[in-house]
Amino acid sequence: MNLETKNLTYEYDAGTTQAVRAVDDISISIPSGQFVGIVGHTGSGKTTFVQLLDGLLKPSSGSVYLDGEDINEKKYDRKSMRAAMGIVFQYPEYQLFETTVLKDVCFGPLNMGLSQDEATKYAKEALLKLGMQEDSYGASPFELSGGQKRRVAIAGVLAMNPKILILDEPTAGLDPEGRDEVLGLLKKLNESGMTVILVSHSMEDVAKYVGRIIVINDGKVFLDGDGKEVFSHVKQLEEIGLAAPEVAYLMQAVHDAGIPVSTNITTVEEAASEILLKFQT
Amino acid sequence: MLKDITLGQYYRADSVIHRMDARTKIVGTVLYMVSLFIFNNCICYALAAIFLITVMALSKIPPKFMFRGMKSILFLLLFTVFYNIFLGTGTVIVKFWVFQVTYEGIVNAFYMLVRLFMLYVGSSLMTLTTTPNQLTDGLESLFKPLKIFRIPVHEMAMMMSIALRFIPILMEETDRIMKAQIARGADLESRQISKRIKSLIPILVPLFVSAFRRAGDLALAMEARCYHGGDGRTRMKEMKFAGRDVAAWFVIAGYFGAVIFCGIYFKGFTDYLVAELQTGLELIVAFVKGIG
Repeated sequence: MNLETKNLTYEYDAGTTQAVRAVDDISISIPSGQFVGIVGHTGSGKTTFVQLLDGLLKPSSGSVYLDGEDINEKKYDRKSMRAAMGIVFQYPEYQLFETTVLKDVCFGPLNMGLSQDEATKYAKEALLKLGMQEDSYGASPFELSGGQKRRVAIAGVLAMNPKILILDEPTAGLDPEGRDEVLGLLKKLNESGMTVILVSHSMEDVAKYVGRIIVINDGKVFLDGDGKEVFSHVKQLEEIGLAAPEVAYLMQAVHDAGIPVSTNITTVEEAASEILLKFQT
Repeated sequence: MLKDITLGQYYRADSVIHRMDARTKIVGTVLYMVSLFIFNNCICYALAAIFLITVMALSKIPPKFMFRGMKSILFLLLFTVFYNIFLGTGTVIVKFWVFQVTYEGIVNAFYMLVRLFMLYVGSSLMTLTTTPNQLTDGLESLFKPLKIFRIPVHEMAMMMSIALRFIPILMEETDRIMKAQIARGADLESRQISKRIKSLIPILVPLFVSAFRRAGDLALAMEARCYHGGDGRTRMKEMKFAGRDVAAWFVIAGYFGAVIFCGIYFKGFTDYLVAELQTGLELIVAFVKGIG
């Protein structure tokens, strides 16, 4: 499903003297199957933006189109839109409420009108994908560790089998291992055809996994392109309080030290092979 | 949508009333309320109105802002007026079924209306010019003598400030949880009551869990900073009785004295008003009859 925004604008406290334009005239298009990273520092409007994408906020002006249809139109079938678009909020573990893990994950699919059997099937699939084993399904979600809660909460969205998955800082507060697992899963989901939109302030995460990066600053699209293209604007990124991945700086330093390596590099693996190449020759 | 609710209703401005000690304002407001209820004649109300308008002007709060919350007491006002006009006792004008309209009733209804209105404006003047924290500090200091009776005044005030502080946090949390559950397909707009109540569970359970978690965290943080209740505790913001408070006390005392004087001196004024109303109405009736 193709997602598109046109002149999307959102103001908090609209009409008062304290009106804040959190999203300012954003027009982008996200075709089906892309893995997009939305990056911006705290308060740049990225969370507001993804809430607009999912129709949880009504835009002050402009529109969001899902497969060409305006999702804020009165007659629009929001229920099927919610089934098609899943959103995982920041710290999603705080939305758990059921008595058992399995029941909680079933909540979404059941709301979509699936039968109990189907819902259970989808829920189990989703839990397995997130590495939750059968023996924990009967446990209360409140007894789990923080990382496990996070997984159950993400599974709760994944079980709805969305075509588009939006995640707002899904790795915040996770240990490096948990982070790699979640991001790796997203990569796999994307490879199986799901559109994934990852909101993050961590350039490292985004650089490693994402195909396209949209940098948002002050509610506006600041840069939009693939990793190499975006990270070639290191200076501008620093001006708005963001940074390129550490490797980019390292390669720059190596280059400045007189070793003719390419500076157009965004991941540790690429950097390693590039440097090794120079030493071997 | 939920974040628009202001805490208390403090209006930030720089005025004498804002800078005044919270204790002066609390006691002053209570005295003012009492003054509205002890006397029942026009002159006293005129005095109260003058006093109120002066304080309002001094507080620099736009009147529009003051009357914004008026809607919430509209029903109470209408009910009081209705009750007084149709169920009063005294000289009957019209009577049907259990209802009777009396001259005294009409005058009383008018008094009650003015009274409630001024009561509302007077008390909101206090909450508009005093932050909730100043209010709790003021109350704590005023109720300190109750310590003799082993009432934990400081602890209660602390509970009150914490509760106030938590309101906006929990509001935000509710907003977030609601959005998350809507995104998972929760139907919060169903018309059926049973469904509606059921749909609250996915919101209330996480909300309570998070409230308890936050309360636990806060208790731990307070303990880690050696909080041990009110004994021997000093304040960052000492409450000081300044010259303006002394002046305020003179004004309040003057006002109160004037009200008592007018209340006694113009005691018969209400009866006079009722009689006037009666003659007036009788004249009109006679006039209408004369035309007929």
